[in-house]
Amino acid sequence: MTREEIVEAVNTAFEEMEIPREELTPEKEFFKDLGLDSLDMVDLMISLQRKFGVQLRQNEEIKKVRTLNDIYDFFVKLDAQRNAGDGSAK
Amino acid sequence: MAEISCDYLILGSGISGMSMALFLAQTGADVLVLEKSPVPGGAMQRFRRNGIPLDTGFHFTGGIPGCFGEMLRIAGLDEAVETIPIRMRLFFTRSGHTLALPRGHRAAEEYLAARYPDDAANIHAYFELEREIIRTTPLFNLRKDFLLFEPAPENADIITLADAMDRFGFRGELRAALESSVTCHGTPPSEIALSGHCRVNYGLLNELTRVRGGGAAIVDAFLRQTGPGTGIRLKTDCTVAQFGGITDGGKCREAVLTDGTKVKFENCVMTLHPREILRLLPQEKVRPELRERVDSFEESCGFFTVHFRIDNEVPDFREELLSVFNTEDVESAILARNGAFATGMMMTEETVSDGRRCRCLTAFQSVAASETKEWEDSRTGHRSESYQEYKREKSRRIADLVRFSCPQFEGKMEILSSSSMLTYRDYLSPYGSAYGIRQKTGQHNLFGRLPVRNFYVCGQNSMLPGAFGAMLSSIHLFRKLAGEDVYTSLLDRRLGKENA
Repeated sequence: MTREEIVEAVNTAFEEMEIPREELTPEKEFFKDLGLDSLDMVDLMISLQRKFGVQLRQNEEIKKVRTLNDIYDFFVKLDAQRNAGDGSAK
Repeated sequence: MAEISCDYLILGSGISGMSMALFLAQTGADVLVLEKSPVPGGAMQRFRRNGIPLDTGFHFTGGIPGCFGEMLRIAGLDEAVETIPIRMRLFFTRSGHTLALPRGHRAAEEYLAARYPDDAANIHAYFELEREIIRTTPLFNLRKDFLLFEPAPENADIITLADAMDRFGFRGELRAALESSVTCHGTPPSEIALSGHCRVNYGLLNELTRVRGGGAAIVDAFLRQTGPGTGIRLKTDCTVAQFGGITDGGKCREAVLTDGTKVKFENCVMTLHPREILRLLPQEKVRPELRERVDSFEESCGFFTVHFRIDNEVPDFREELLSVFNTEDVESAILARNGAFATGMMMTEETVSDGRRCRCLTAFQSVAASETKEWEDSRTGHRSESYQEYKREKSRRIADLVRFSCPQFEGKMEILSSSSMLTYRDYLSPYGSAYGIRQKTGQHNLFGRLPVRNFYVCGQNSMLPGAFGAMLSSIHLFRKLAGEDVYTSLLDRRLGKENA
């Protein structure tokens, strides 16, 4: 996947949670800027798991993401690892 | 026109709605509970025939000690709930074999290992896995934040029960015995995740219990905590007719009820079937993805139920759950296909209206929804003679099976009442199934936030089926609504700090 495709897939997940697309800029923090709470994070993780076909539950890296850009970077890195062949998604 | 204001509007007065109302009221919230039926309590209700109390949907549970007991204490319902241990037996009509499962998860393990010595090693491994799944289920630890959940061991979240049985090489009646409690969550072995099945099965094997007075004991205790000064108001025979418009930040704070009352609320919690939720939500907020998700949900199994009175003179009458299978193929039995079915027979002692003791047997047999399809447009009280004949014939056959399985009741039993899936549909669940939607492996249930920012969902369709699962979803949603500080201080107050 290209970074653009990843950005698109992540943004769609946020749109499905009723966050308007115009608010989805990379520096936005989920809790502070987008008004999400921990209930939203469950839905977001499940939605991203589906979109990217990966188990996120026990992934330590995903727990550290704070901004939209962090999430884009996370999936870009994950995609690169997969393509490199060690892609058994953690 | 009447107008009501509240902090929380709760739709549905089943165990999920009742416990959510009680949790919230203890934090000082002002709650309005709506129940569309004339009687509150959902599947916790009882009804009477000849003065004998009969259960509708809540016959037994496996989870009362531990987490379930803690939830009852937090809700302030613990004093109303007296538990009675129930014996468990399985009976296979073809072979005539009986498995009298002893109480306790380890005792049941030893019993089966002794009964099936060739499979003993795998039986021990399977039971150990089941215990490991329970230990690592953060949902059951009310102090632990479930959002930081660990996955279940051995991929138990993503493999089905049937897969697990294949891997262990379980076959025949042993496999049927290990799968038999699918009738207590309603999803076939080929669809339920191993973890989901174990969470139900462990509790049943470990501590099968019922509540003295049935679900009505819980409903009565709830009703005592409603009314002036309690923070909880209840309106029966009433639901939302129409929600108001969406305002600031994607919220909705107004509704008109079916009796014309206008309600202003801060938050709304729906403890309803997912399809009912979709129907009630402001339609502009229902995205195609959500509709597809809900459309993909299928109904859990359904039962045809017959209530019997058993003569008081019958010797050796013991309270027990007898599960009768006319096949080793539990998948076919729960789906009631190819002539296979599962029949649960719950034997209880009750108190009649005049204070006398009375023995009851409630038989619930798995049934396909197609059996009552030709009458599905009719309503209770207005059904044709052909439907009545169907019910009589079905009841006669179930009575025959009871006599075959429990010969000591021959000539000592009387049919009090019977219910088809259509009866359940008209009184309890909108599609007449026993446990709401099936819990299919990998399914993304509706839980937590709905597409209107101040609308939330919990209930038996959210996490685990049954009264225990419904209550569990309420407390975990409550935690998020109340916030961590309020939640923790309520737990400290109700359970004591030493529990932390």
